[in-house]
Parts: sequence; structure tokens; C-alpha cells
Amino acid sequence: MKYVLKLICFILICLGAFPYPSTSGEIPTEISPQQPNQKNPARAILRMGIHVSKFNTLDPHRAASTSDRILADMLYNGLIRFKPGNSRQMEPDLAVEIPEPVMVRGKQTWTFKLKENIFFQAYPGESPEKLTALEVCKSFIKAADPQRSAYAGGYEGISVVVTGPHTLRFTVDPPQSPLLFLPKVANYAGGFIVKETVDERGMLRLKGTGPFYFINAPDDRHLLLNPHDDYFRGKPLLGGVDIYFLPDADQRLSSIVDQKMHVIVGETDARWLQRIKDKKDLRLDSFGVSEIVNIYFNTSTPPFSDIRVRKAVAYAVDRNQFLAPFGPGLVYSVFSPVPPYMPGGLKEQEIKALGLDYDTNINRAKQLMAEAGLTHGFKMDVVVSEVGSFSNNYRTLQTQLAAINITMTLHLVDHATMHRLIRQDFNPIVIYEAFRPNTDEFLSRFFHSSATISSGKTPATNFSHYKGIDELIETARLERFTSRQIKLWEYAQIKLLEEMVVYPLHHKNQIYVRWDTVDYGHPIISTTALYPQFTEKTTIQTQRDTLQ
Amino acid sequence: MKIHHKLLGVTLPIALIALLMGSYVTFHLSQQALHQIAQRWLKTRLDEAINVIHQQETFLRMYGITNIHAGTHKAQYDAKQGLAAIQIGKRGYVYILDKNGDILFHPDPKLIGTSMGQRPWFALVQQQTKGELNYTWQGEKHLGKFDFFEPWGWIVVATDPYNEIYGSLNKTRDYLLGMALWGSILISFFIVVMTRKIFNPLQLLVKGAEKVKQGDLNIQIPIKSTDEMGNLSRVFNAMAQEMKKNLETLQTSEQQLHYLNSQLLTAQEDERKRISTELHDEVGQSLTVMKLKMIMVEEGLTSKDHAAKQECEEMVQYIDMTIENVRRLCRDLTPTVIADLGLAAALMWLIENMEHHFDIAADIDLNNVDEILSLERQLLVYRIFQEALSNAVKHARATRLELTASQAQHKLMFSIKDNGKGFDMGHVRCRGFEERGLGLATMQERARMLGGNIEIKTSPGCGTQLQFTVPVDKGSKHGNL
Repeated sequence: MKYVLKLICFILICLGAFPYPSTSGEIPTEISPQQPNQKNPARAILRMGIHVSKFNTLDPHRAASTSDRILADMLYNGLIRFKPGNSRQMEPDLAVEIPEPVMVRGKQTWTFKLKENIFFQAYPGESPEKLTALEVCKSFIKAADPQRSAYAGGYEGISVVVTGPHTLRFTVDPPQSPLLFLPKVANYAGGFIVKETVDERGMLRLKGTGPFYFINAPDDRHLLLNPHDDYFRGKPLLGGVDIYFLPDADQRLSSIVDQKMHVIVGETDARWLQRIKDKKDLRLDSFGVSEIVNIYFNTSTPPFSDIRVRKAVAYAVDRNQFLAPFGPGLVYSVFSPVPPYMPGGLKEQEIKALGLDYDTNINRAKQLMAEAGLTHGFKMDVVVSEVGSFSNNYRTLQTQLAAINITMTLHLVDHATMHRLIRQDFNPIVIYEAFRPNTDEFLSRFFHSSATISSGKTPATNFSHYKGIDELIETARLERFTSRQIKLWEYAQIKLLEEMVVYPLHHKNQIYVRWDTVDYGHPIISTTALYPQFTEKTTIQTQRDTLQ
Repeated sequence: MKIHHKLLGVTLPIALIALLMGSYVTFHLSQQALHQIAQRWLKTRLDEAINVIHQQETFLRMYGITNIHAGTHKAQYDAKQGLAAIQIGKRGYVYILDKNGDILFHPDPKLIGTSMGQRPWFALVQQQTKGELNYTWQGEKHLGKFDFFEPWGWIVVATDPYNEIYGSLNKTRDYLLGMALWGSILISFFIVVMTRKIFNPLQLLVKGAEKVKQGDLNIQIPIKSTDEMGNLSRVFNAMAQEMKKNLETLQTSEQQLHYLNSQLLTAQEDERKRISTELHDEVGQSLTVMKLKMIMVEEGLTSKDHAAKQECEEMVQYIDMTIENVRRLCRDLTPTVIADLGLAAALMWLIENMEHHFDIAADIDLNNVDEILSLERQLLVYRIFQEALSNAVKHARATRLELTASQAQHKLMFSIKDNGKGFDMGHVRCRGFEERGLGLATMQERARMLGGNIEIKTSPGCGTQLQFTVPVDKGSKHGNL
């Protein structure tokens, strides 16, 4: 009965606030050139087609989806930043340098000194405002506020005070290693520095210090970003970035082939990728950071509150089949929730040695279902994102679960809606793609009870409603020896797998397609922003700038 | 055998034995040391292994995560990974047995599950909680250390094949043997080279001495160094030079001596001839006159002067006897029979005369010796025979003589053999000239004057044979020259 009510609710929502299909199909056949910055008429505007029909949020402290993170990266800065194109290296951003921690009265402190003459973006008629330590402090207070941030849980035990016009000090108690602390003040999630203002209509608006900003809110087609000419690293070489919502993969592909877009978000779909192979001057960029894709079970409610059912699903799933729809060399199977390339990630061999790989065994799955009293299976509804990788995975899962009489009905929604609904516990089983900058962040956000969606102290992405590894996560966070910290993370994952809270599927690279006239301004190895990153150095060569 | 060969024969075995013994001692001591090191090394590896396991097990308890069922497996998995990372040389390793002897972990995954429970050494492992193992595994001897990790019931063994423990030493053994062999060869070679270098001058000296022995006193040993050998060479050269001078002096003296001897003998013969002539012509004639006078005196005596007559007759007889003695003396001094009848007859006469005076018999074969030599040379031959026969009769007391003369090619060979008492030739040669007498020396001088040489074969009690050869004169009747 509960499922029926939930389904009715879902249908009403779809027909009302979140109609499907989205308006992204209304892209004009001809994209007229725009000149958002009349001061720099010669600068080209880069047009980018993204895979969603709208942004989920314009607040970087709530940004969770790839599209939201893309936008946040262009608009905001952190005290430090992951080097553009190479997330393995950090460098000062708004801060003059990356400080070393100092123990003061038994507490760990980090003192940052800000660069001077950094200006926030200014709306028409406004004068540029300088960045001060006070604004930075306010931004972190916002980031640590569960009411105003999705990443508040990461700032527990961290306090910040202004010690001068351009200096501020963080006190971290208990102490954290640089590996854990620095990403919290970097250009990622809660680390983005924002200034809350009120516009002429009395609406809250967020300003940043990044190289681009928007004046008009996005409509259902696109969002135009203007260049921030007072950007402290230099005036952007681009005349702006125009982000178009093109959730339909084919349409997105057509738009770049027809030279209506400079860059589009690619699809990790073998057939889709095959279609661009013959296109001269089109470049496929595959880079990190990889997003880990896991299946999360809601362990708080039946049927997945029964470990036997969860294990039955695990035995029914064949992770290799999930790879098939994706292009070769873009997606790799994983066997632990945290991928093996991150500290604490477990390798396939190790997981198999521990007997936690749940090698596909339908008979065993059926036996477990029978033990759980579900010999005939059950039905469930799930919402599925319009994004191809999500829908592919759900469809594969749907097929595999059918073998043990689990009927999964898929409801395709736009990406933002999926994000919202899965946070409202709509899906008893969630397939989620995510990157987190470190293992603590990953485990804390996905498996700590405080991050439980809808009910946690600082709700995040604990879709499993699991609280069995809280102590391990907290102990590991406080552990000063890295080797022990890693081992605790490993044990935490072993427990997750033993109790089948999560079934690891694969990790996938970011895929983007561009014309070779686009120069990002940096080489790309990996990026936490989940897109190639457009900076003040990004340019488009003029000879091919003939997009109509 | 040359000196350096002798040295090689001595030094090579000594060097080889010494080096082999040194190698063996080194090998043996090294083996003991390696064994001890291996024991300690395995102990440390085993301790490290136990520590790895202990850490994993402790970690579970320390963080209160023993409630995770797979956690213990994880800890054991990590422990095994840690053990796999422990290196014991190249072939050593750590493995784990359970209490029943089943292999729980081994670097070779195929062996996991293999039972060791029936192995003889496993009984020791079961009896003790820790200890040392010497066992054979897969046909190879191993050294092992084991310890028991009680919380998990693991018997942890750190082991290494002896072949690896002694591996480097075994290689060293071959190396040492090779080094000993080559070392001894090198040492011997060095000794030989040095010996040859040292003895080369000595060999030159030996060759030089041989040359000197052969009469070549012009030899000069090259002086290549200033050491003792160089000095010896220098002294040798000086000695050779001195000998050469002395020899030349001696040869000159000898020539002079020979000349004097020949002159003396010639003068002696001349004097004998003069005396003989004087005796014959003066004394003989006077005696003859005296005899005739006496005869005449006798004839002038009457019968009543019978006593005087008797005295005269006796005087005549005495004069005849004196004349005969003078004649004999003349013949002895100058055997004119040589000139009259030839050498053979003269020698026959000489022998007959000796047979007449001594109890001696002689076999004579002296044909074909007449007219081959000049008269002077026949006289010299005659004198040699005269002296030899005199010696045989007077000193050797010989009763039998054999005299032969034969011609061979361009030489006349004379032989006088007696059956006398003989004598020790060496003993005679050792005597002083004064004791030795002139007999032999005179015969040798005469033979030399004849251009030949005398050879005497004798020994006490075995008689004496004297031989000498005489070159045949040019233009002689029977000679070819």
C-alpha cells in the first residue's frame, strides 16, 4: 500500500512541478551569437551543452550533481584550489599560500592569509566589492550550517575566526590530517567562498570571485555566464560561457557536429561515442576524476532492511554486464565502495580473498530470497535520471533483478528531480555516481548516520540509512597515523560489504567532446570539478569561431 | 732435470696444497659463519613475521572491530600480504601452517592446503612452540625457524634453502679452488721465470766452463747484471783470460821443454855416438894394440917363463874381454846394427841380448818395420823399446814378452807386453818427478819426438802393455805419403 501511495505521489509530481520530457528539446535550430559583454565585443563566447535540463541549485554549498558542480567551479573560488586540470595537485587560490597546521593550546590551527585586491563579481550598477577575511569567515559559517549547506557535516569540530582584514584562523578539534582538512577549504563543496547578497527584488543572490558570473538566472534553455573582468588572476580571454541544457544525448551530439556548440558533455555510451569517431576536428577528452558508481540499499525499510534480501540482490547482480553499454576504456569495475585508486580502496583480489565479491550466483540469490520469505519476489518503483549513464545502469539492474523475481519499475525524470527525490527516500535502491575528494568525505557523506538523507543531522547522501560504521569513520578521521587510518577505512568498507549495505559497480571517467579550436588553457589529467574547467586562460581559436 | 724444473716440482705442489688448505679453512669458517648468520637472519625474519601478524591481530582488538566477521579474515589477509612481502634472500620465504600441518599460506599459491602433518619434522613443530628446523622439502635441504601464534593457531615458519644460504659460499668455493689452482700455477710460473732469470747467467757460466773444458779460453760470458751472478760472470771471464795466458805460457814452456828434451836426447845420442866412436876408435884400438903387444910379449917368453906366460895369456884374455865389453858398450851407446841391419834386427839383437843376460823369453813379430822410418826415428823407436824392455826385466820382473809392430794406414803401431807385476799408473802419476824417475818421461818424450804418443795399460799383478804409434815418414819405402 505504501508503495502505491508513493507511486501516486510520484505521478502527481511528474505531471505538476517536474513535467517530463523536459523543455531541453526546444533548442533553437540556430543559435544566434550573443554579446553579453559589450565592453569586450571581440572576445568569443564558449558554448557548452550539458547533459541535464536544468541546474539543481545555484548554491555551491548545495551542489551535488555534476552540472551544479560545473557551474560552481566557474563562479567561485576556494582558499586553495585543486590545480585546473590536475586534481592531484593543490595550490593557493584566494589564499597567499597553503599553511602548515600549528598546535595552539592543544588544538590544531590553520591560519590563512588572503591575497589582496580580490573582487567579488558585480552586477550592473554595482561597484566591485573587495574580498575580506570577514566574507570568507561568513562563507564558512554558511557552509557549516546544515540549513544552508549540504556539506555542513564536514565542518563539525571546525571553527573559524577573523584575525585581521585579510587573515583568518581555523581551529580544528580534534586535529585532522592535511589530507582531510585541506579539501574542506578548497574549491570544492563547502570550500567555495560565497557572498550572500540581496538583489533589487529582495531575493538572495550569491556572489563569487570566479572568472565568470551570471546576471540573469537560467531559463529553461540556457544560462549565460559573463566574464568577470576584475578576476584576480586576470581578465578572462573568453567573452563568456553559454551553458545550454541538452539532456538528450543525440541532440547534444548533433549540436556540436553542427557547430552550434564548442563543448558538450559526452556520453559513456559505446554507440554514442562511435558516432563521433569519424568527425574530423572533434576531440574526445576522457579524464578523471573518476566517479564511483554504487548501488545503495535503504536498510531502514523492508524489503532491504533484511540483509538476506540485500545479499540476494548482490548475488543476482553481475557487475560486468553493467559495463557493456559504456565505451571501452571508460568504465572499470570496482569491488569496494571506495575505488582502489583512493586511500582505503580495496582491490578486487583482496575482496575476493575475503569472499565479499558476491560473485554472481542466481541460485544462491533465490535461496536467500526464499529464506527471507520472498520466494516470489517483490515490486518496487524507482526514479531514474535522464542522464544516460544513470538510465543505463538502472535498466541493467532491472534486467538482472528480474531473475530473482524482483520487478523494478523505472520512472525517468530529469536529473535534478532524481537528485531531489532520491533524497526524499523515494528509491529503496539507489544507483549513484559521485566523486569525493577523500575517503573520509566519501564514507562520511554516504554511510555516516549524520549524513542520512531526510533524517540525518547534516543530511547528505547516506541513502542506505546506515549507521554501522559511524565509530570507524570517526576513529579513522581522528587517527594521526595514515596507515591505521587507511586500515580503518578498509575495515569500514568490509563491514559495509559484509552487511551488503552497498554494492560497488564501477567507476567512470569524465567524457567531454570539443572542437579542437577550444583550448582549455591547461592540460587535463583529472579535475574535481567534473568538467574540463574553463578559466581565465580558456580560449577559442578565431579561425574556427564560425559557430552560428 | 733443470733447476727450475726441480723448483717447479717442489713449489707447485707446496703452493697448491697451501692454497687449497687455506681455501678449505676459509670455506669451512665461512660456512660456519654463514650458518650462524642465517640462523639469526631467519630469526629476525620470523620475528618480523610474527610482529606483522601480531599487529594485524592487535589492530582488531585495539579498535574494537572483532565483531566484523570478515574483519578477522581481512586481518589475516593483510598479515599474509605482509608475510609475502618479507624477503629472505631470493628463495627464502615465510609460510604458515595450522595445527594439523596444513599450509594456510605459502608464496606458491598452489601449495596452500597441502598437508605437512605427516612430515617427520612436523612432530617437533607440534611439541615445541618455537625452534629450529632442518628439513628436506621438494628434494632440497632447508633451514627453518618456527614460532606459534596462538590467537590464530598459526605456526609461522621462516625458511631458506641451504643452497641459498651457502649459495654465495658455494660460488666462492669454486672461486677459491680456481684461485688456489691458478694461484699455485702463477706462483710456480713466477718462480720458474725468476729461477730462469737467476740461473740464466749460471747456465752461461756452465756453457762457458764446458768451452773452457774443450780448450776454448776465448769465451766471454755476457755480464747482464751487477749482482752476485754478474760478479761471478766477471770473475769467470777474468779467470778464463788468466787461464788463457797461463796456457799460452805453459804451451810455450812445454814447447821449450820439448825442444830442450829433444835437444838433450839428441845431444845424448850424439854424445853416446861420440863416446862410442871414441871407445871404438881410441880405446878399442889401444886395447887391440895392447893385446897384440901382450901376444908379442907372450911369444917372446920362454917356456921357463911359464908363469909370466900364463899371466900374459890371462892378460890377453882379459884384454879380449875388455875389448868385447867396449864393443858391447859401443853397441849399447850407438846401436850401429840399426844402420847396418835395420830396426827389426836391432830390436832382435836387443832382445836376444836380454834373453842372454836375463831369464826371459820373448815372442817377436816385428816384420815390415825396416826402412819405413828414418834412421834417427828408428833410433828413437829403438830407445823406447830399450827402456821398456829394461823396465820389464828390471822392475816388473817379467819372464815373458810379446813385441809386435804393425802398420795401419799411415801409422806404425808398436806394442810391448809383459807378464810382470805391473803397477798402479795413477799412483805413479801422483809421485813427484824425482820419485817417478825418467824412464816413462823419456819414453813419452821420444814418442812425442816421433810424432806419436805412448799409452800404457797396466795394473798391479796384471802385467804391462805399452803401445805407441809413429806416423809413417813421407817418402818411406812402405809409406804412402
